Amino acid sequence: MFMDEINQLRRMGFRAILLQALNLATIIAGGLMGWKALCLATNSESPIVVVLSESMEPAFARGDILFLTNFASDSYEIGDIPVYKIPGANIPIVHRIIHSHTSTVTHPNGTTTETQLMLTKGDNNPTDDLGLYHSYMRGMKWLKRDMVVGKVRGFLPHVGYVTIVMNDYPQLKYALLGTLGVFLLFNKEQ
Amino acid sequence: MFSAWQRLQNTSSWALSVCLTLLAVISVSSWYVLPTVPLGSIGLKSFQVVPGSGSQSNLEYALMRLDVQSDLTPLFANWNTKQLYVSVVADWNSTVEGTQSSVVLWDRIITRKRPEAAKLRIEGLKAKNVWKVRRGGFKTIPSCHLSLKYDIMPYVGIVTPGIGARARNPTWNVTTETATNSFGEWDIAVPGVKSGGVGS
Repeated sequence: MFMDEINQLRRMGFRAILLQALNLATIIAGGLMGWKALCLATNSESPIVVVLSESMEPAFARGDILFLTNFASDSYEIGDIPVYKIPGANIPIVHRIIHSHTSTVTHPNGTTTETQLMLTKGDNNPTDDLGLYHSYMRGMKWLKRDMVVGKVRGFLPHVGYVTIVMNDYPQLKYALLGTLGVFLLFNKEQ
Repeated sequence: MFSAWQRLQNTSSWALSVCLTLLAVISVSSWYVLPTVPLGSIGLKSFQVVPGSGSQSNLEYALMRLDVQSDLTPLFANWNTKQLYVSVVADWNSTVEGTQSSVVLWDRIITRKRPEAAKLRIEGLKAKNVWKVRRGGFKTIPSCHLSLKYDIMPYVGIVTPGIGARARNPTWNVTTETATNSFGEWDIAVPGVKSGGVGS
């Protein structure tokens, strides 16, 4: 089975192999560039996230994909669903806002700064997130804007399960990436 | 000329692009024909302020009963409505602290179109989340808006908010009379309702 491939490699010659490697690198770089462009366009550090928990059932189930934006002009109101990351917590949380308190301070030079304090709750949780805040950060009473990664704008069901499975079984991930790489390397334009 | 592998590849990539196009068409088209609902009503039946006790003694609570009416069935006429998150929200400005606040008093998730699920007609609704402010805080709230908000969760696509009902008289006023009616130690004051400024 592999003899064919090795023979093929021999026949291709050095330049052709380099060209294929370049193709592979272009695809990887293209993907990275696309992701970074999306980060810039949405102003969010991770504009696409996969739901991992059941805390927002039945709105979002495990494996659903969410699309986020985090523009400075985005206002967060009751009912909106932010994704937030508390310093010290390893995974971001997606829950719904149930309290909001905004105070506006006008400075002597005429500019104003707004501070918004929010409280969130998972639709499927019996209580709000105050205990969750405490467990990650002592003394944290409110969710503030600087911990928000983005606001949920779009929804695509189930597709994210692929990444969950790959994270649960890393061998599968490497096997898949390996095969993909090999195929790209040997794929000749006919 | 075509190997089994190439056939499989072609078929799966074709299926994938058909699926993605279909999903895009569904989400965009449903957003364009987004239904609206006739504005329902919220009536404030009773309103009481009670002081907190124990560790919460620096707070005071508002206990209230609401009558909520709103027909949300039109929202399910859209083919892309999976569920509604419906909440009764109190919005107010505090004159002393200079803050704009909103609090969910009650919420529900509606997943079915059937009138008994999507047509809200609730009398004497009790708040699930108790509305609490620091002691004496209700005196500094000149008016408050009550509204029923909904957020449409789609099967695929864009999450959209909307308003399903407002209080018939959208502001309640704590008149000076009721404000001086002292929210004293264990007193219970019923602002607004006495002066007829609430609800109806």
